[in-house]
Amino acid sequence: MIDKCFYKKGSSLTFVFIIFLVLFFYCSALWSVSGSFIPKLKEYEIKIQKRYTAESAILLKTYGYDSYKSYPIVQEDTLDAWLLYSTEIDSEIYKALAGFFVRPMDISFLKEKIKDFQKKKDFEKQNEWKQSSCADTLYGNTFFYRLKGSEFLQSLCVQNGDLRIYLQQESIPHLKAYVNGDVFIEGDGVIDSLDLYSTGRAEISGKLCIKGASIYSIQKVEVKNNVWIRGVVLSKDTVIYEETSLAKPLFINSYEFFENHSKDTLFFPVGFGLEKARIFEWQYAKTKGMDLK
Amino acid sequence: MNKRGAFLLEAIISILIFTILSTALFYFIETYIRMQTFEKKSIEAFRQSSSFIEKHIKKPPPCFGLLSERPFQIETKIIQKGIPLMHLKVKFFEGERLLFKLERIVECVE
Repeated sequence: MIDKCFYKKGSSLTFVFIIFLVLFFYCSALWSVSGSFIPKLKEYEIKIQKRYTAESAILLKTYGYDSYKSYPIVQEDTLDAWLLYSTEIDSEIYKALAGFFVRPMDISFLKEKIKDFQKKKDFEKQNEWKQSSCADTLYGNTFFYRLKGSEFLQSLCVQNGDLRIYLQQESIPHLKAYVNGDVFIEGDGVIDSLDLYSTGRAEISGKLCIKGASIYSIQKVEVKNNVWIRGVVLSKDTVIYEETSLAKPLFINSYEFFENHSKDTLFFPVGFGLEKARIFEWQYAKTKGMDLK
Repeated sequence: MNKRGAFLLEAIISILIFTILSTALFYFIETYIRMQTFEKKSIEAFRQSSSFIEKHIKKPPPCFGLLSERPFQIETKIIQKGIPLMHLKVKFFEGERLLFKLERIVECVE
């Protein structure tokens, strides 16, 4: 009878299936207990720890530690007006931008220092202008619009006239101009690096994004609405700007700026003569060879 | 064996199989739910640990006397006397087992 029960057609298959189910449930439960969730947590841990290791190495570098424990080597460089630290872990590059931090209470003391810095920069810029071999020297008022990025790969000189640039959603990698007159940059677009010297005034307006600015104007610099600007602006007159349009860090040698930002952290650019660099922006891992901007 | 005895045996075997199967299923479901909860707790602990470090990156902690915060353990070590840098380690244990560890150098206030 039992033989009939167990050996009738299909019953062995059912039995095997039941055993399979039991084993499956037990094994699954055991597998869960053994830590099936660990890979997910490990993945997070490795990812964040790599970033922390890179940041630690960079932070140590700012305090003068070139090597500490097994932290990676950190390279120091400059990017526009700022210090650039970079390190590499598993083919991923981590970067940090640094400037010089000044406490608000030191600002009055710094006024003289700012004036000296301004004079020094003026002298440097004028010398640079004299020595610079301009790719193009233009005379009289000059107006560029619908320009291609490659047009400004080298320096441009304008003698005895104003320079006016109108962007129409273009992206320019580098714009370097020495102008013996006024400068007007307007429109809608992106300038990765702007190096400008003007013997007159400079006016920047429109929907512009200037990632690394180094602007020196003998007279006045005006940064108007909707301009996103980061870098250094030096002028002899007051800089007018809209609070919301500025990106940090932006160094402006306007006393009005210092007074309005007395509660904030101020960052000074490279060459200002301050000693302790501080990180103001971390740039997270990007695969080697990729543009970090 | 008569017909009644065979039926009885068949019934006992069926009940036995059913019991084993349902126990296994219960064990599976119970473990699954427990692990899901534990996974959530562990990931939450991890999130809290990294948030703890991030908090101290933004606002430097005192160089001495930083207290441990549940559910994780904290270890601190000054890099060098006179320099406001601290090696901050955050560990999370499940029983005796170390589940994860995060560490970073942070600035501290002397």
